Amino acid sequence: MPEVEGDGADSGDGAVGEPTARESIMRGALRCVERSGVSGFSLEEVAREAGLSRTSIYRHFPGGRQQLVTETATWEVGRFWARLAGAVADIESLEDRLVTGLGLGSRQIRESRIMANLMDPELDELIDALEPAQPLVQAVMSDYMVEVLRAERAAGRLLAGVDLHEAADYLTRMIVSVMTSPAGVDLTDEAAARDLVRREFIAGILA
Amino acid sequence: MTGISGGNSEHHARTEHGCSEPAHAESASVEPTCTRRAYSEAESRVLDAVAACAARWGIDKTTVDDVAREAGVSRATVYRLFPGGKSTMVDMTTDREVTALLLGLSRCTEEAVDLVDALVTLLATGSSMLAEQPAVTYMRIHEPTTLKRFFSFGHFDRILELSARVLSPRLERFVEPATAQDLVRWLTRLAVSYFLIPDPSRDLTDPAVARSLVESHILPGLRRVPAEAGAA
Repeated sequence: MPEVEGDGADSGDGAVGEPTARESIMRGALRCVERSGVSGFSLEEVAREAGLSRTSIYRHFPGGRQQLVTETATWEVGRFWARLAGAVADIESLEDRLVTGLGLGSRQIRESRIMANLMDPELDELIDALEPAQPLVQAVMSDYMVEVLRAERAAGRLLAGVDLHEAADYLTRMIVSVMTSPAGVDLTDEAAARDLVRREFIAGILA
Repeated sequence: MTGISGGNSEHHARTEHGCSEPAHAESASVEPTCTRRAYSEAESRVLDAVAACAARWGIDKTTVDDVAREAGVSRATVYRLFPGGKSTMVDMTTDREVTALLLGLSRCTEEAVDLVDALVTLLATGSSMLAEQPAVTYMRIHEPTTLKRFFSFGHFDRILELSARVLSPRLERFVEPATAQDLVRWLTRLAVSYFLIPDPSRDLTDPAVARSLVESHILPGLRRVPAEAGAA
């Protein structure tokens, strides 16, 4: 959702170095969406953007426009979370990591060129595109949180009796919910975000 | 949906969840302050028709003609009442149905003996009501992405605020108003998250499961608020 940048090293999808044709097409699709919104984007435009023919887009995305939109949305959401995880990776405490991550993430969602382009019906199209990936995103994030919590336990910061998988699942649900629909709190206000994190995220998890 | 045909001042019993019909007139005081004004009878009839159509064949396939036929009014009347057409009617129906559900849920907590009891009831009964709501039940199977929209981004922010306004007065017996609102938003997030991405090992409609979630995350969170440490 936020700006596309970088070279794949930050994408967490294993594709370091030369982007594949698929990836070039999806990058092209993202640039088109940023420019003209989800509905204003055509395969011709994407082909031009990616420097490929329309035929080769169909070779990689036989389902055409719809497949391209769904897969690009899923891919970009994966990259969004991977970038966020990367941005907070060096922060020492889980509390600080959550506070910073929520602030960064919600700001990026709010300010992203893609979201800014979206009129309401287009937001619907984006949601439609993202819907199938949601359980997968939940699972991947939750696995990542299990590792984070394992490290917290090793450092002696976890409450006794915390079930790593339960806690990871809980944190993932709260992060996704609060970041995408922050009603009740201004996450860019660090004190407010910290208060929320302490009460609603980690109170039952961290010592 | 089918049960709220009596206009928005009369709400159906949720006896299937063991909640009684409002026993005292006092429950009228939970009327939502969020609806701008009462709907006219004709408007109510049309919005009921939208809800009935949504429960029968979903939102996507429902047309203004279907709604007019269901409500027993002309297409022109529908447009006169709702110049914005289908999307406006869907938004208003959603707010109205969400409010009806929340008011039903609110009544279920009338007899809560303490904060934990109230929180568990809100979470478990709210989760059941959401899953059993007729339009939701239909759309969950046939129009999952349309249903998902109602719980995404700004749409869900609106539901969270509606929820906080309707339900938080119930918790004000036990905690400060601001804390009550935070708690309601928190519970709403959890109920909706588990509804959208179910976890077979954690079915929140089961009060024992809801209780364990309340005990493992919400009560410790409440204890972190020094001013109200004794609330739980």
